[in-house]
Amino acid sequence: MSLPNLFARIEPLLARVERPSRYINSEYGAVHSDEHVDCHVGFCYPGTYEVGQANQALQILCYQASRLDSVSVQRVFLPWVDLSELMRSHDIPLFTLEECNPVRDLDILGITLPYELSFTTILEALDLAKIPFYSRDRDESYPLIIGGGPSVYNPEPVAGFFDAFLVGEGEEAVAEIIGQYREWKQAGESKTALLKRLASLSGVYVPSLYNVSLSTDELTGAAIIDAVTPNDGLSPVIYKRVVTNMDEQTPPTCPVVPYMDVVHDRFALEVLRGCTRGCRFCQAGMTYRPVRERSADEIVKLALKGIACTGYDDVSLTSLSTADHSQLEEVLRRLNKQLQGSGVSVSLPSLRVDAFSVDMARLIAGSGKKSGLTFAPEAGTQRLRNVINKNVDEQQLLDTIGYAFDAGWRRVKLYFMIGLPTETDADIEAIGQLAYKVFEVAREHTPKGQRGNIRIGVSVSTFVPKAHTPFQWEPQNTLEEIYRKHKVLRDAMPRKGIELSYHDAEVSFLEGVVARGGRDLAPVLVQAWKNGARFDAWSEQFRLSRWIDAFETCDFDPTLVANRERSFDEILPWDHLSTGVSKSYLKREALRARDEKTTKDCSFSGCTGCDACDVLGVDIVVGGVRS
Amino acid sequence: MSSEFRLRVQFEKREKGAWLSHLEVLHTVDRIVRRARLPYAITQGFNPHMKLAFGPALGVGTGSTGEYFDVWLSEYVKPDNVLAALQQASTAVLPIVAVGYVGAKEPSLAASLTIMEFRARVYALDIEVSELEAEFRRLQQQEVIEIEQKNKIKFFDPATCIPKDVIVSQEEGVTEITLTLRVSQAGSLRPDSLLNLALANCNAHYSHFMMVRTSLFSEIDDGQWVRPL
Repeated sequence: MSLPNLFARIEPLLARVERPSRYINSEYGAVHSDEHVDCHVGFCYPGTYEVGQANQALQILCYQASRLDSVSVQRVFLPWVDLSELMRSHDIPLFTLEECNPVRDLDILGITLPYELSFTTILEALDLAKIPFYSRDRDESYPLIIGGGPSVYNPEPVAGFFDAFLVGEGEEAVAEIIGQYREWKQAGESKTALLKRLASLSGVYVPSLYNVSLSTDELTGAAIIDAVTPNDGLSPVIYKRVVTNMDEQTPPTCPVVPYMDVVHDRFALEVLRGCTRGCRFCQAGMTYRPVRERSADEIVKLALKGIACTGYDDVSLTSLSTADHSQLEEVLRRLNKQLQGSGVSVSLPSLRVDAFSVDMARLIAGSGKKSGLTFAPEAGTQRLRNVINKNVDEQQLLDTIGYAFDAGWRRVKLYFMIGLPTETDADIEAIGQLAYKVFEVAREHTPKGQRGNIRIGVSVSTFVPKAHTPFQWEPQNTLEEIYRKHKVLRDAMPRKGIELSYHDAEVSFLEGVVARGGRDLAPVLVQAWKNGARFDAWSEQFRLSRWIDAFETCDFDPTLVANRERSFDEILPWDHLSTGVSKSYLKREALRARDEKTTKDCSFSGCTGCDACDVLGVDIVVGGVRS
Repeated sequence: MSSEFRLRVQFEKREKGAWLSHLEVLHTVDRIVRRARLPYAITQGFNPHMKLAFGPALGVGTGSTGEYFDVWLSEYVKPDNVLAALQQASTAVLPIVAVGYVGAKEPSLAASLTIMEFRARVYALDIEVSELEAEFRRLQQQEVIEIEQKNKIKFFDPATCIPKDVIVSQEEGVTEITLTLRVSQAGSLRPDSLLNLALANCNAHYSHFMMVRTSLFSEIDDGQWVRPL
């Protein structure tokens, strides 16, 4: 069954828009399905091509689904505002990339939830596709809409818009979901029957089958959850899907190679999944447990295969904490040897200060371009680093800077956060003092003639309490407090040698609302979209006023979500979804934070009792010895 | 340097490929050469990269049936083998057409390719072929053409910039225009700018047009035009 191709209607519009290469498909590695298709699947990143195409999860899911017989797999990205305006005026609906089919005509549409402020862009996608927002308004003639991705661990603000969510890792689940859909379609059953089928799959959450009852807290006026009640026969808790062994999952080694520059324009290879360093603000550290390394042999084999197939001149070894990989030095040595003289370089994303050594510096330096190093100390004082469980001390950071500049680096970026629990002005001032010490050490380890090339960047974000972390009960600093802290920060920074940037406080505030919001936030999202909110991660598109208006129209007080401290007893909107890490562990870590006590990394030392391995039936997979 | 082999490659920018920018084509060619596993030479210096050189840039929205790049190889590889490898490594919208070795001292493509031939297809045009033809003749007979390009007013000598008569024809409701333009040091007359000017002067209405660069030539001393490969 073939679907209509809209490109002939789209092409005349391309001369009137920016970057038309976003819309043309036919890239190297793109798969165009043959005619014998009985299931049309789309994977949507709610953003433009240059952001979405670089998303590794999208590539993995497309690859896994494309291995199924008679399934057409297509990518869906959002057109930029210039083309979407023209599409609306010319009555052209949202289209898939590969075959330019109307998204409305797909059987299944998977949408990733990459971050909280993408939610109104998801609504933009549905509207452009002429698909009703709410699941309850869609019958069997509409695509099945399934969500997944990093923000799925609190999907409640968008629960009403999706038919189902896949919680966790999708490599194995994607075939199961498509399989259930195909059986359902053959059987000619109702949509309700489809949702029940999906709910029977491990890791699949069907929100319409879970009733949330609310009341109003008399003291604060906040909406409080009384209970989350599943339909008969369903588990009260949905546990995430997890892949037990990374070596058994073949990633795409010949992914699509974009024509246009995308945000990470290189061959990205995931070398391990999970991080158990236990930073208490970090949602990913809790949701991707346990640590599972890909073996050195597999990494080297896949990296070389990927470079040969794609033609990229840079391979990035990605993960939450690549420098922690127990065989990383061996991997770098082997890759440097194989790639010598080819002009291909190996890059690593943000490195942990305490995992970066003299040897590591030399190995990374030997692997090609030294574009810049990034470290994330996160806090300016040891006290606050202990609160957040960032087990890094000042001397380690300064030694690391020394190694890096001795090895020839001249550019370093440091990430910090303000608004952390127990933070004082002294902690913020310490960021400036630390940045200055880093600058001094960089100068000491750089030959005189090259000191003009030194660039120390300090990037400061605002703490957003996230679901499933030890800090999920903490209040976010108010906007006024953040503005005040920005001034403290600016006054504390050295006048020369440091480039300071900080994230927009208003954006962080909104993230704080959506990150811990519940189902009652859905009308606000719709209203914000109606007011024009979409692509809010793009600074030129973001307008806080659209959201303030939406909150007022819906009579919703956002401060009761972002700035309210929760008690340990309160039912949280995401409590019925489990990452495997127990709530009691998170509570224990929250209390240890208040006592400024640190917790070790279980992949280096012993089990810390988070329960993830027992609950999920998985284990830590480490190839060598982590030290 | 003497141990390097200069290979010239002809390729097309076909159909949807018309919407790629010059920079996007450059980056794509770099990857095509790597995928083809050719023994490419690398430049020296702080930022070593593949030795590649391209002909005159082509605007976004303009396709081509004859584009060229030079790549320097550190070893000789038989042309047939190179062609097969590059074709395998490329895509349907940037197909590789032909390859051949050229002398190391040949002038660069960017400097030597000064004559460009374009074909524009205009859809749903509401004026006659003869009227458009007459307008192009009128423009060519002027001493100077004043035209807006990239938000600036520029002046061109048509006798130099338009070395051949513009040809207009129609087939199955589509108006086809063949333009031959000469690149100059002072800046090139863009084919879409010239076409837009002519259509505007005729007060014409149309749905849209598609532009394709069909040929590139070098001018040699006796005034002849030769293809680069």
